[in-house]
Amino acid sequence: MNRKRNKLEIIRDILQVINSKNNKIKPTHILYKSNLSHQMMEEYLKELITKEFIIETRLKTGKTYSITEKGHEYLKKYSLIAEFTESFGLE
Amino acid sequence: MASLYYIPNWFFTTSIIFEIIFAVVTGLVAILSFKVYNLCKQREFQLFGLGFTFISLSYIIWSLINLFLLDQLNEALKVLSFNEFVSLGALGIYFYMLLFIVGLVTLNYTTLKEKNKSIYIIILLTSLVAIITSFNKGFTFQILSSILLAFLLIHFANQVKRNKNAKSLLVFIAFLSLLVSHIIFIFSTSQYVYYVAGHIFELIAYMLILARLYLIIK
Repeated sequence: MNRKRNKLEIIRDILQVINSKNNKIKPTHILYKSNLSHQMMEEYLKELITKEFIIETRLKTGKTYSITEKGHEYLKKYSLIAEFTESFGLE
Repeated sequence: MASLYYIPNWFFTTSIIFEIIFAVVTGLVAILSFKVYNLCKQREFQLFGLGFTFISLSYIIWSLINLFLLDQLNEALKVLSFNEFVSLGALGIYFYMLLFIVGLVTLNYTTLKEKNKSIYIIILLTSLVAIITSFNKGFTFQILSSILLAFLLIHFANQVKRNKNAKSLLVFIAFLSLLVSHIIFIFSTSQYVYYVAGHIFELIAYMLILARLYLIIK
């Protein structure tokens, strides 16, 4: 059985999903791919916007999300974050 | 005032080098923690970095005061009287103790994953008041730091149990060595051999942490 993902892993997964869809994705796609409940996904998206990892664009057809430079940096340096977190048990 | 530590003359310079090494290693942990905080903006990393900053500052103060005292000992023309010399040494150690305890309390608060700031303030004030009002400050400091390190060790033991890998075990052994060093320091108010042994265990602890840091950034 797979272990429960921690918060940092969930953030990485969401950012990877957005990145894989040419950096423009609708919330429904994030919901399918990130394996989260709707409420959890909303909370994470809100947090990622506050942290400036993603930006929300409102169109007539609905909302889309894109990764910012900070979000890309998070993905790039994720192994460092994960190693540090695992070493000191900070998740 | 009760005695703080017995330090053998032959070990004084070596102990200053050790303290500088401790300051550098803890400073590196703090820098890396702040770097990770800047990447993920998670509060725990900021607090963890802050905890290690206080510990690093404590070692910096201790080594600077000892360097100054060493310089005074070597000077042919003494600027300080004996009483001033002893008072300055004691003041340096008090600042070291207070900053070190603030660092350990901050690290414990981080690992508890507690968001209530009152808990942090209660533990911090209780610890600081205990040292400030104690007759034997050195002894109280070592007991308190051993208790705080023991709680940190429980946290790292849980990490070893959970992750079951050598990386977590390395950090656990490092903090175990740090705990052992502070337990040994409890006896350093009576015999200098404990002061030397405590420093050696502390050096082992920080070398292991440095090794872990190297593996993280490699």
